[in-house]
Amino acid sequence: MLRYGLFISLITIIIWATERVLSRFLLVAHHVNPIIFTCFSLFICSVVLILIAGPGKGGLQTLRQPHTWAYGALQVMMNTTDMLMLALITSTEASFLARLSIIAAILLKWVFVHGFVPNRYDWYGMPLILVGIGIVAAGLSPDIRVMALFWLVLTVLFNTLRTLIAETHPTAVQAQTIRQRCRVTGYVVMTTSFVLTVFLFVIAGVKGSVPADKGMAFLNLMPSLTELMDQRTLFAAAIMGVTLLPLAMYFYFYAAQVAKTEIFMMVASVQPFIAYGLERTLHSFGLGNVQQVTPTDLAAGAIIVSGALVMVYGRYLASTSRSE
Amino acid sequence: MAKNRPQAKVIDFGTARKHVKPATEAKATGTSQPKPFLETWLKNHEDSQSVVQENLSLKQQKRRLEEERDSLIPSIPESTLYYTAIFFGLIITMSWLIGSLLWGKS
Repeated sequence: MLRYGLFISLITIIIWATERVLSRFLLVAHHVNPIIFTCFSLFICSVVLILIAGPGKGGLQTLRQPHTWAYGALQVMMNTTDMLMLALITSTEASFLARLSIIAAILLKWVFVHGFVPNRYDWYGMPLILVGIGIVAAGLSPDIRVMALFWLVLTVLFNTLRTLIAETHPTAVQAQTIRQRCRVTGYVVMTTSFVLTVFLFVIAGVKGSVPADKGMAFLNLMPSLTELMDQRTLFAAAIMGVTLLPLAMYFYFYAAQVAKTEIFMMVASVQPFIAYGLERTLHSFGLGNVQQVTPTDLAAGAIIVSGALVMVYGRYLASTSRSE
Repeated sequence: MAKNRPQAKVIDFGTARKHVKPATEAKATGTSQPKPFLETWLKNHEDSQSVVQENLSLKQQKRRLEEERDSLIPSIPESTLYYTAIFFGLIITMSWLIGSLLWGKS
């Protein structure tokens, strides 16, 4: 069972890394719009997830929960800021920097979750992760560093809040089987991506009717009607939404069921290296660019991953002592 | 002494409720035999309990209806929600893609 859990966790991580590498490739090589790409791919992904789940209980209850709307909004915002970050740095660098969410999750849980206290291993691992992140951030080009770190902090914040909401979502907590989890997630993602779609179209309509010189700065950031109908963005999002996104979510639920959380987290901590391997493979075919990733970045990545592994090991020890 | 009381009715509380005829039924059949106190008491108690239960379920129904009236999402069967979501999702996806083919730039 342990081997099977490890295998499923590894497949999940490979799918996650592939999704990230491909997203960056589409952004850099095909100039897809990150907001529209995220919104449309998540909408299609939700349809596929609902199809996988089939009819059953939990749908209406999910829609009635305020948690659902908060979770969905955070999911869309997180994917968008992640895409904006990927427009500036490589998937490998982004994956290393995203480990900051481990520290953010622990600190937020310490503040908001009653009875949660970081253990000894957390205090060993967190400085290691911070040092690694510092080295990777110092290696970024000065003209993009501030913006990349800004998107990173937002992504980490949205991701951590999303995880906290998922842990307290009444229907999501009740959902036990993979199908139930697919159904709940499908309805959550569909409602929020649809609301965002309507919002984007309304804003694009307003933008089209307001003279360019009188347009507000906020409107300039939002996509226009022409961008909303961009074929490359929509077809790339459709392919991503039908294939990788639902697979990533399905396998994540599956891995959470067959592998222990600690085992999954342990495997997940090596995701940046899988992303690097995939980026290298793409680069050897003349697609993408990994020259930004230096040996120093990889060494810093190793420090980050070792810090994450120390923390996961602490949790593993705690869980085994509890089960004994 | 004990032999002199064969007619005395022993009330078995476990089965009493099953044997009791409703008061309305008794009136309808025209039987005017006086009912023992405990039987009548049990009957009245049972009737009052059923009224209380009925009121409670009415209250629950009323509360549920009020909740549903306040909710933006109407109460529909889960299977209807599933097929509606799939239909709605496919319509939005296809219209957006076809729209991009007709009016969008490649």
